[in-house]
Amino acid sequence: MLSSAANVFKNVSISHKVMGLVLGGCLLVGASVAYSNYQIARGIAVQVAQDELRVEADGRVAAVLDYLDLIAFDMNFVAEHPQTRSALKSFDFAWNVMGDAPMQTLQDAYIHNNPYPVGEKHKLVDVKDDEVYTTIHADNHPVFRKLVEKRGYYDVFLINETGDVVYSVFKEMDYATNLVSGEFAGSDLGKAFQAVKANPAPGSQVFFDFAPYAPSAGAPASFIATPVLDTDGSFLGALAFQMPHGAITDIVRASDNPEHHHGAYLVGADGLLRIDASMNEVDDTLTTAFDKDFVSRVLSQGTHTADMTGLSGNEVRAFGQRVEFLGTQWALINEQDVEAIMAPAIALRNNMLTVTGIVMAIVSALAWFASLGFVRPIRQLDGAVSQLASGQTADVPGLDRGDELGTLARSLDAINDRAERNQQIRSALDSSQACVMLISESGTITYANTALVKLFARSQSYLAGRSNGLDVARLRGVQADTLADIPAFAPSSLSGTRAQTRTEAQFDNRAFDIHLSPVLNADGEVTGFVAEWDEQTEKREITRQVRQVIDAVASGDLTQRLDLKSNDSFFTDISGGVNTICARVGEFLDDIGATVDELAAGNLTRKVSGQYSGQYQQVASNLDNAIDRSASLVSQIANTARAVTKATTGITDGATELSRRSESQASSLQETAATMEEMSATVKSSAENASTANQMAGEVSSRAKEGAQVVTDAISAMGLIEQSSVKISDIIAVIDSIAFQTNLLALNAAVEAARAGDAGKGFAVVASEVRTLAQRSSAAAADIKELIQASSVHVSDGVRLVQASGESLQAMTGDIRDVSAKIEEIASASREQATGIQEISTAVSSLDQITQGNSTIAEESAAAARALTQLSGDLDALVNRFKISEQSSQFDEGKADVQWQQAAISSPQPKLAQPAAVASRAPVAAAASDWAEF
Amino acid sequence: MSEEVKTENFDSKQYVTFVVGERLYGVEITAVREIKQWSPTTALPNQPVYTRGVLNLRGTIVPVHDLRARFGGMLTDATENHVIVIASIADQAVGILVDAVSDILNVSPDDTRSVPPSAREMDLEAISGLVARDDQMIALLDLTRLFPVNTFMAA
Amino acid sequence: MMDDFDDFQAVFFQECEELLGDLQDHLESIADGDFDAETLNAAFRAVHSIKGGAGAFGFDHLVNFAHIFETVMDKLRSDELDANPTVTKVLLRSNDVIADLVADAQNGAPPRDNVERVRLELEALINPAAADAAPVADAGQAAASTPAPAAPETQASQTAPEVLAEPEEEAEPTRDVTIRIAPGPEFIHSGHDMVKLIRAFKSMGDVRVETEGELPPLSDHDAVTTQLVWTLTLNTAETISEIEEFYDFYAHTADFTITDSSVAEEAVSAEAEPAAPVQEETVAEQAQDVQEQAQEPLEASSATVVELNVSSEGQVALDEVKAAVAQADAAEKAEKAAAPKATEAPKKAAASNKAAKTLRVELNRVDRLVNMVGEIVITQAVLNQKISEVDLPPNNQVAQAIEQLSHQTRELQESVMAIRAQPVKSVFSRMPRVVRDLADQLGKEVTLELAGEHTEVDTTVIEELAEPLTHMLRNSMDHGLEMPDAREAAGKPRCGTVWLTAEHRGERVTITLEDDGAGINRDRVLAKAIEKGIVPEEAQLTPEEIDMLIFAPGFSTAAAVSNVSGRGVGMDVVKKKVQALGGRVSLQNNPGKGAKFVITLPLTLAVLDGMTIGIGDERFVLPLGSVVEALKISDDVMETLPSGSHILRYRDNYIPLLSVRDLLGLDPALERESLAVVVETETDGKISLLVDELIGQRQVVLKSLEANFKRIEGISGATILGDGRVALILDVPALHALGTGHNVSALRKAS
Repeated sequence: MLSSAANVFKNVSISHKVMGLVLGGCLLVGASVAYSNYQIARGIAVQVAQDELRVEADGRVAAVLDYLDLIAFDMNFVAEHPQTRSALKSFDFAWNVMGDAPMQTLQDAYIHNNPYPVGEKHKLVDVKDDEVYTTIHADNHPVFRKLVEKRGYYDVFLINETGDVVYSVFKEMDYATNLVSGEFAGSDLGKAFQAVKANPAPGSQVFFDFAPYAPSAGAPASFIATPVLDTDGSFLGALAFQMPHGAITDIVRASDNPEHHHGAYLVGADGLLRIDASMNEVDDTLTTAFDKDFVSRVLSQGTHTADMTGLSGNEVRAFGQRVEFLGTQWALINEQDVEAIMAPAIALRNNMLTVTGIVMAIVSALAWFASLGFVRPIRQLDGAVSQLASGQTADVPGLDRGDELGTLARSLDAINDRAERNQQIRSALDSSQACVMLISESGTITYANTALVKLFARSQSYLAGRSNGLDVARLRGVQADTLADIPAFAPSSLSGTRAQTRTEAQFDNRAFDIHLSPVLNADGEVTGFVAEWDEQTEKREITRQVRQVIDAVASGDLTQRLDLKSNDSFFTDISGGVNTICARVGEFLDDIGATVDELAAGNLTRKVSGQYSGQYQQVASNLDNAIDRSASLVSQIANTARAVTKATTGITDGATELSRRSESQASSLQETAATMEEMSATVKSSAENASTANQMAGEVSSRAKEGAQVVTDAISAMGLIEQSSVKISDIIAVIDSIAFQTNLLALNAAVEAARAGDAGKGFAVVASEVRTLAQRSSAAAADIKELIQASSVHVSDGVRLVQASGESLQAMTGDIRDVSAKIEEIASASREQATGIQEISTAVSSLDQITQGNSTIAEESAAAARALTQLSGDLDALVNRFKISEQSSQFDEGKADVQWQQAAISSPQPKLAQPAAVASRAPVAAAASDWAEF
Repeated sequence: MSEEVKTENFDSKQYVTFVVGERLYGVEITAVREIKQWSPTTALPNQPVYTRGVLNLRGTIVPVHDLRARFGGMLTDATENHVIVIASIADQAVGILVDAVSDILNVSPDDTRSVPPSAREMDLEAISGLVARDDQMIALLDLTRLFPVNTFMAA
Repeated sequence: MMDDFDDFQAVFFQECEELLGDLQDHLESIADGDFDAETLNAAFRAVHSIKGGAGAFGFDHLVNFAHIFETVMDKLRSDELDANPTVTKVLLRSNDVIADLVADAQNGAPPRDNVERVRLELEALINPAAADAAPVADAGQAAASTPAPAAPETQASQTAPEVLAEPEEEAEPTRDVTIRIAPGPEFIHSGHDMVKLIRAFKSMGDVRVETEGELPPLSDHDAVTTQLVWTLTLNTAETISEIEEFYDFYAHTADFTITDSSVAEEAVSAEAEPAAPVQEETVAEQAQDVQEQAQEPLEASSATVVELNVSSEGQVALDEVKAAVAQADAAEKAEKAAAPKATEAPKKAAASNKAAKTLRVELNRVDRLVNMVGEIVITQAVLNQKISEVDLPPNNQVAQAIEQLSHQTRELQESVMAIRAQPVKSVFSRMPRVVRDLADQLGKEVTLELAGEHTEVDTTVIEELAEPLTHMLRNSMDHGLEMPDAREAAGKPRCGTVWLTAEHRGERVTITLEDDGAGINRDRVLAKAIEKGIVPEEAQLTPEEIDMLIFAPGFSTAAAVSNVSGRGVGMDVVKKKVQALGGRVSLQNNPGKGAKFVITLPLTLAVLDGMTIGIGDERFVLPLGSVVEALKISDDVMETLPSGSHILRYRDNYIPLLSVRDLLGLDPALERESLAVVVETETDGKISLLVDELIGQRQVVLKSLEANFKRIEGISGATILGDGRVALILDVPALHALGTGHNVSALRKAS
């Protein structure tokens, strides 16, 4: 279906197409945009609406719950409030005091005789009678009435412990009745009271769902009650509120929005609405039923949404949310007509449509205008293109436009140009001799020029036979590789070719060369291939022939001639040329050949006879020169040969001498190597000995050192002795001087004694005694001194001796150290020697090897030399074979020698090693090799 | 406190003998004031060679003569072991440097021999007698003549 | 117990000696007519106490003579007898006699013959009635004796032997004596100090001091010259003469005028030094401007000396006084350190003259004391040396203690010296008698002028001095003074005069004996010298050398010198004696006019300040007194005279340069001596001595070499250094003589 469209589209003219496109596009765009926007908007709207529903529901639920919590809080607050307690006690008291029919009296007073109309009974505060109840009522009623007005409760009841409704605000029928035994015991209020009485736990609350309540004229009423406890916790009674149905309704319906057909309502578990939905006129409180399933799902899941027929009878989107209060569960349903939901979406759709319509109109106008603006040029372009398509060149209008059309035009123009160029190419191709074929990527032939056609025409029959009625004229569209077995044309290989390739094809025993190269578009993508066929058959034939001839020529047979009979002037020309060439060359070669033969024969005198021109002359003259040079060369060679022979004889002699000497050297080296071996052995041994000696020296020196140490100790001991003896001698000196002094004293004493005459006689004796004593002590001191001296002499001798020994030891250690040092030196020397010898021996051995090598080399060189002489002899013989003109044959002895020597010196490499090679290189073939290289 | 005192014959004299070089000399003990160890002396200008100088002897200035030099010998190279004999000559204290004091001898007059008349004038003058004592000759000196002291101070 | 009596006797004799000295003074002053009742009283008291003492010890001769002498004196004192020359002559003679008597008593000799003669003369004086009153008659014309205040003469009670102290001076009535002192330029120069003087006066009684003249402004205040004239009012009981004696020491340096408020008569002003007159004007000139300044320090110093009774007109604030006192004390201390010698002298003089509170001490005790002190000085020196060797921190306590010790020993030593020192008077006092006796014998008229008796010399010196002095005196009277007729012929006054003066010259005392006689006849001396063979025939001598010949040994005729007669002329003995005392004698002889002998003696024998110098490794001591300056000399200052002797350019003057080494014949110098010490020879000006090194200054104790050895030319003695070694003390003049002697022929060598 798509393709058919495409076809249609394809065939509709651009302007229409453009128009259509533009319009369609706009439409499409607009519609799609609109539609998508619509969808989106719708989705959003629905979502929004739904969310709104949800949000509103949430809001409503929260509000309801808040309100109910508030009520619960109020209840507890009021129940615990001391005033409630006192009020209840006082009302109870008043009730009990009222006599036997408190109900009747109260009802009479406050209901029946209540000056205020029904519904406003609560305005009566003070009955102003002398009943105890009245004052209590007067006191408390304003408070409770304010509570009701403020909170919007339907009614507030105070019930004593026996169930009497001792007080209510609105004084409805339930006022002053007994909830246990009274008419309303079964009512929810009663039930509430009974529940409370049953479980008077402080703060516990009982709630009863909305139900028709008789005293309130059947209005739906819901009750909530809580026990009122005395300070001591005893059950005083109950406080009950009648839920403010109106307030709750208002809360639930607070956000109803009739415009949006949106409303909310509360549905009990029994499916009955608890409030009057706003969207219908009927008061559906406790009457209208709601989809039980929806409610149950809401109650079970907490939330539920679904589309259904709402209360308003319309198709609605309902969102239910569970509301739970003191055990009673409701579902707060928030419904909005789908239409309303969708209203925005619908509105959106409508305005979307309008907008798109408008846009469409605008756009179409624009399109129209634009088309005028560019359809015309497109048409023109179209015309141009069609012209182009039809092969003519056309001038492209609107080149100067800035927009895409401009670029289109420009590109069209470019295409036009290219078309023109293609046209030219095509015509060129058609007219060109070259057989060109265009192949598409897929391998189909897109174009074949006349030449190609003509080319194939020749093989029409073959081709037709090959591929079922292929008409050469209409190659276009034919799969290229079906023409012939041309692997290159296979689509697979085609796709792979990126560069110009050359391939061949044969069919109808014609050979074709095909040059295949890819055609690239501006972006470098391959858009097709061009194949250039080149009939090769004839050419091949000719080339074969020519090759034949060339081969012949190459192989020297110049006689071959080309068969000029060929239809192709070109080939004939060529052949003719080739033939002439052959002829010419043949002649020339013959001539040259003859000369060369002569040359070969050694006759260096014959020159090229013919006169030629151009390169031939060049060759001829070269040949002549060559001959001349060869002649001179030969003469030189002769000379050199002779020199060589001479030299070689020298070399041989030298070589033989060398070989002999190296032999002897080798032998002597061997001897030295042997001796070296021995020497190193001896040295090693001496080194070992030296090291052992060194060790021993070490031991000795250490011992000597010990000895020295001992000596030094001895010396120091001696020194100590010396010191002590010095000290002793000092002491002795002191003693001596003391003796001397005492001697003097004694003398003086004696003198004094003498002077004193007889009185001094005794004193003189004493004096002499002292003197003798002094003398004895000095004598003793003298002896000791002598002894000390003697001992010190001995000590000094001893010291000297010890010192001497010490010194000798020292010397010994010194000597030993020297010895060890010397030995060390010897050891190291011998080690060095060993290493040296080792080196020497290695050197010798290497020398030996070298000399061996040398001798062998010498041997070889001798042999070579001999061979050389041999060769030079042959050379002479050869050279003599050449007959050269006299004047260049004399032999230049000196120059030869010199040359030889330089050669010998300059190339010492052991090239000699390959004597055979030298002989094999025939001088004749050497066109101009430099003999100096040898 | 001492053993039985040997009673010398009454008129023997005691002499302090001292050594100078090899020779022994003696001086009457009564003439000797004191014997002290050598201590450096202060040279006196314009004095005969043998006067070694003056010495501070506990406050009094005492001249010291070198006996060896007096007898023509070299100046004694005095060391601590040398001794100065303080003699009183014409109640002037005079120090005589000698090598060492050998002993105190009791010499009886008949032991003393006179100096041989042929001796030279100096010997005659200075020596008042010779004593042989256990094969050594001791020359007894006459100090007043040996060291003339020109006394002119009136008492 | 017996010893005590001897002791008492010894004391008595000492006392007598002193009394005799006083007596002689008084008699002389009486003889000179310059006396007053007080002198008479003093003389009477002297005789009286001698008589008393003698009586105690039973010296009858002495007693009798003294009695008569005493009665004469009493007569004189009570104006019954007039002190005319004949009387005084008799008195003098009797004084000699009593002196002899005392001396005889002391050594137990019998009284001499002249005693009786003189006693008769005395008796003649007592009762002229017996003889004609002629001798006494002319007593009237004597100078009007001053109406001595009939001071109640309390007869000194019999001096009990136990009472050793001098008889206590009766409480003399004190009265005000004003002394006007105008110090001459020499005053400060010679080291005196007003404060000392005032303090000294204070010892005699209350002193009130005022000054005239003013101190120049501080800027051009010249420390040496004094600008003030001091008038001291002294409230004392001392006699004028005693006061005079007291400041006599200062006499030659300041102009003292003393007025006794009780006696109208103007006291003879002390011998004025030549400089005095000039001093008068300059003082007056500056009087005004420094009046106030002068006032302060003086009063302040006097405050320290005497209870300051501030004179009304110079009211001075107390604190200024205190400041001045502090200043004065400082000055005083400096003063004391600078010239211990000078300050000592006056106090000494005062002490010894003061009649009261003297103590009789045997000389050898003093000697032992002196020796001991000498030893202390030495040991102190030794200690000092040792301490310096131990290197202690510079001003450690030990060094200070040693310093203190050295000061004290110095003080001790000087005070001990002072004890020994005695005024020359005791010697001089004998001279008049000698002159008198000799004049009589020679028939010459000679008056002896004595001066400077108070100069103090060491007792030993004094004892030794007496004999040479008398010898010189006799010599100059005998040979110097011509006969009266000859003098008259020569245009000189008939009566020759001999001046005998003694004075202090720093370390030394110089005693000059000058006569206005004919001097020494050089020709005779030379002839006699040649005759005696002292001088070779043809010797050429300069006049001075000829003069010195008399001192040559052997010149004196007398073989030995007897201390009593001393007849011989030989000055040689004198010279030796003087030199023995460490002194020197020199002669200035101008023929026809007179001759002047100058003897210079060391002030105190034992200790002197010396500069130790080193020559080679020997130590010598140069008496500091004679050292002028030590200087390092370089070659350009040393010159040599043709004769080869060296001279030194010193203060634009050339002085002889002597090498001590050569003089003393020590071993030649190793390397050139480069230190020279300029010394003052007493007589011949300055010379310089080449020495090796200066070691230091120290106080040395002089020990004579002669004790155990003999005198050595050029060495005055030896001392013991800190390290116990002996150092020789150089005798500068002797060295100089040696130096110059070198130029004279070998004469000197002979000694």
